[in-house]
Amino acid sequence: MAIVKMKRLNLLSLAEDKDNLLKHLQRAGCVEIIELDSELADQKWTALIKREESALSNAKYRAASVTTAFDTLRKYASVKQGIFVERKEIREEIFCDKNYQASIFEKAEAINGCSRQLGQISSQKNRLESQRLGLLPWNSINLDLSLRETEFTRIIFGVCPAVISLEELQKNLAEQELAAACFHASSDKEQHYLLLLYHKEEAEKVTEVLRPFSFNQAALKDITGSAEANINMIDMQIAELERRKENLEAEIVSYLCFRHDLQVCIDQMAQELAKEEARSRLATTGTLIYLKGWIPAPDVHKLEAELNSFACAMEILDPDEEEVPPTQLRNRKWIRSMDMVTEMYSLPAYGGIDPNPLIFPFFTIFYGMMFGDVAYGIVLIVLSQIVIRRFHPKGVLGNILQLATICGISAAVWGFLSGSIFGDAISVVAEKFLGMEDFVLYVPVLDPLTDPLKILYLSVIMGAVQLFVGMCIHIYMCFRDGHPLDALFDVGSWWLLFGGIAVFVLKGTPLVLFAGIAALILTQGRAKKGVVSKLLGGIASLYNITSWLGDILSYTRLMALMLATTVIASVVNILGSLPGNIFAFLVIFVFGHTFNMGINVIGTYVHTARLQYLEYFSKFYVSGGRPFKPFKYDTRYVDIISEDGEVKG
Amino acid sequence: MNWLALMGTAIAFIGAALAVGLPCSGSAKGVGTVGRAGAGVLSVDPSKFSRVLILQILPGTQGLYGLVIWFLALMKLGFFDGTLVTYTLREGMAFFGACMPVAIGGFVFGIVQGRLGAGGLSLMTKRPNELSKSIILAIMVEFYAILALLSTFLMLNNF
Repeated sequence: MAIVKMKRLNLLSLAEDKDNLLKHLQRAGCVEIIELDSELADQKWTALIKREESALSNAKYRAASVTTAFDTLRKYASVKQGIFVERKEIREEIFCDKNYQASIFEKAEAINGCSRQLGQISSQKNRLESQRLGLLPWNSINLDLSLRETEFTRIIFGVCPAVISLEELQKNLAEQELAAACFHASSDKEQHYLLLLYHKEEAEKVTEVLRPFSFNQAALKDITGSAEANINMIDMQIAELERRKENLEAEIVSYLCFRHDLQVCIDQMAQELAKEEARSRLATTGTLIYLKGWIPAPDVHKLEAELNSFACAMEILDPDEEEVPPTQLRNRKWIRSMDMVTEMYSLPAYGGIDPNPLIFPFFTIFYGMMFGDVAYGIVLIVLSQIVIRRFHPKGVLGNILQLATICGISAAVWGFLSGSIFGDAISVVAEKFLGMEDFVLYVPVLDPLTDPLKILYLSVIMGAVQLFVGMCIHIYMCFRDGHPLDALFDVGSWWLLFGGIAVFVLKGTPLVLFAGIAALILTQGRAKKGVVSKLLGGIASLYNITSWLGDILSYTRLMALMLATTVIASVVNILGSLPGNIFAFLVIFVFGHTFNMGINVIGTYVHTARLQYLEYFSKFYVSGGRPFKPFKYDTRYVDIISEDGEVKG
Repeated sequence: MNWLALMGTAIAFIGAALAVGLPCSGSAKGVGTVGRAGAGVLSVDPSKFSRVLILQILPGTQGLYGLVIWFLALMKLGFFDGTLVTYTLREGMAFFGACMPVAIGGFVFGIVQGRLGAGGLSLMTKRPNELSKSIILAIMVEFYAILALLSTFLMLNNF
């Protein structure tokens, strides 16, 4: 129910058992294996041990290739994947079956082979198509394109810019009365394509005539036969490629029946990868292997049970002074839904305090208040429960849904208190469609429209309570860590000041207030050196009174957002009732309330989280923990069921 | 009823109109700014869509606050139940003034929050796990929008 105490684990085992050891550790899933960097840099150690070799890059390749195969399959078979992954249960012995794994991996390699061939086909096709484009301008000339000369004439396939006038070129050639002819093949936006024939003896004169026209020889290397014949051949090749492409695609689609096996295989490969990563952190002497790790104190017996029948030596130590253990939070199931809120900020330091039980009541109450509507709350509960029951999501998503259910309950309660059921939907329907004037279901305790000030005061009081609790936790932490004086100075002085303000307002005597101010001036600069800077530090701390004011005012958002939810819901109802038609009402009702819920679910979450992070946490929280990452089964598509029916991952 | 007597109610209506119009313009500008930057992020990595969406929604709240005040103002003016209130010129001006914090505030905050959101996007692209920090930065502005909403609300509530 707090930050879990961590133990240091040293483990020695026979090198020949290493595969088995890793398998058992992964099953137990409670050891984080530490890198041995400092030891492997130390000569005393390196004389004895070296890093265990691992097939990490091979495991990475295998994991990536199965994932690629699955993506390829999804692309060609156009399999839709929903937002939520449906986790399938699988027995552990099947999951670990190497033969099954190998057979599926073969399929994945086959799919990848097809995909590689498709890539080659596509690049061949591109090359052929660009060749075809190059030949197209010469289509009208029925002449072998590799022909350069006959006995007396020279043949040139050439181009000149499109801005040139062809008539002028022809005219110039004709005027000189040369034994030459120029045929126009075709033109596009950039160039004219020309065939030039001339007698070999006239070469110099022809060059002279053509010089002003930027006539250049066209690049037609390695092409024999006429343009038309070449184009026909290319067309045939392209058709052949298309046919092969279709066959390959059909072959990929034929693997569709294995897609669930591929998902299992993705998970299997991910576990293999994790195992290789763990292996790369082991050290070996050749006959023995050594492992250094962290283990949560409550899990020690679990590891002992798992390694019971195993030849290994285990040492469980308390962490050294200079070692920083990782942080793991362990709470009851419903409080665990706060993990996500805490993780989004930053985990607590190992020596800090677990904030989850401390933010749980405030988070749910504040969320419910800002989202306060009976119907919205129920919709939230139903939707989250459907997804939980249907998909059994784990990890962050599971937490979010758990949180949504709890917050939905809270919102429904607050909605009942403020009399909001889809805003004022009931009275609008009663009035507009049932003809009942001034229909009132019940008189709510807190109506944000008729009595907003009551809710404003309530918001501020709830904020004050949260800040007070925050300060109490600060006092507790000071006592726990052995600095009770800090608690007295840092929290006591402020309480004296606030008490002083209350006394001044109620009784008119400012004495207690002055005492509080004096206490702050005298104590808040105590970390500084020298009397003057101590005093200045104390005086500067008085400025913090504005931040206290800001913190308290910040809680007015509770009222403002409660109002926003309710009022926008009411606006939707009014808009819906304007056409006076029940169908139009239903359409506007559904769209409007979906929109309002959607925007408020996120907005309220952000505002609630902000109240925890900025107002509450600033009073006591020590962040900066490193998350505990045990070596375990971590799967995306399957739940692994062990022999005794336990869900492993 | 002379024209002066109707003037007060007319001014009050202008106030209510501005209370929703200006914040909606501000929100539209803000959402647009984040959206434009978001499209750039998505062109590189489409899987960040949900994160971009969260940041894009943030400046949208100003328009909603405007709508809340507009609704309240129209309720006070008796627009929905057909009992239109007649204000004197002085009352109308006061009503108009009461609408101004949300009108002006929502317009400015929406734009500012949009820029912050776009900045947050670039933070999020470089460090995908720091989404919460960019949200918090953007939402700091929101506090003042809420103060503006509250002040308008409390002033209107006395009409």
